[in-house]
Amino acid sequence: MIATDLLRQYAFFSVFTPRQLESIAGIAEDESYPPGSLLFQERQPAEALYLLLKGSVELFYTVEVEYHPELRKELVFTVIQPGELLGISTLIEPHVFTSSARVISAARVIKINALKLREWCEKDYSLSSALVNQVAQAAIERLNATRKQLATAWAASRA
Amino acid sequence: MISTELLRQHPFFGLLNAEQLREIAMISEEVHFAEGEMIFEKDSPANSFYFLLDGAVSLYYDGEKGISQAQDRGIHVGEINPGEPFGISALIEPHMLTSTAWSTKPSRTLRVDALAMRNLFKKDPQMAYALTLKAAQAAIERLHATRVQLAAAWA
Repeated sequence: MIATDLLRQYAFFSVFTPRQLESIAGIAEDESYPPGSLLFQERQPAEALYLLLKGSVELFYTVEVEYHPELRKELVFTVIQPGELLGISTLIEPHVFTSSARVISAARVIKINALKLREWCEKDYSLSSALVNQVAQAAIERLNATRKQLATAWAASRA
Repeated sequence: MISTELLRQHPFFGLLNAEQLREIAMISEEVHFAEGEMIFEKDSPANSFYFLLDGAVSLYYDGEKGISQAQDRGIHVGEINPGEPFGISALIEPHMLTSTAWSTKPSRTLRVDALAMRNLFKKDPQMAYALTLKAAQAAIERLHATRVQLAAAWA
């Protein structure tokens, strides 16, 4: 449980009504993590949605080759900055994380319980359409950024 | 205007009730594209939302000029199969297309007027939720696929 005043400071929450903010505050926690902490891991059930308040968090993806642990490689795709969402798979089926998140510089987050959030989404469509809108925007932005990275990687391989 | 039956067959519209399906059908039309025809272009306003009924559509991204010259369409970033949506940016702000779509086989599509659809969303949050959720799901799947491509390119 956190104070609704904390939520009100961030653009992400500006689309919600005071009552919706109160509900969200009731299932949210204000948490801090030191550098190196893993917030979540790819392929695990997505049970929390995070908003980064301070610090930075990298999203990475692990490439593994069966029977060849020495070939394990981590690929960092993006670095999340304050004000951005983490764990957007939380609201989207099949509710499984598609990447892992590791704290780079001391992070403060608002962590929202996803099971409760999903329950409300089925009851309050003005809440869920506002939420899913922002999640979809974050997904498209990341998709665009990844395509840009891909274009750069291709250009480099042709140079 | 198309028949609501056409919509009812596809899971993408599965969360909508009969009245909502009728409203979407009224702002939709069936549009055909020839093999090799461009359907929409990256960085233009997303005024239509598409749903592929038959055929095949490829999405391309032309990041930098050098690349688009080396390969005329840019980088292949996605393959749309029948039953899948494309032009999903029509449902997601800022409503700008993030890739270019080419029909790679004779294709039959449903084209939904996105401005009319966004007006429906304003008065029906349940419809907005149901369809934006599906669009977000498609975006996450494409994000995942693009990361796999990127991992391969970095290897």
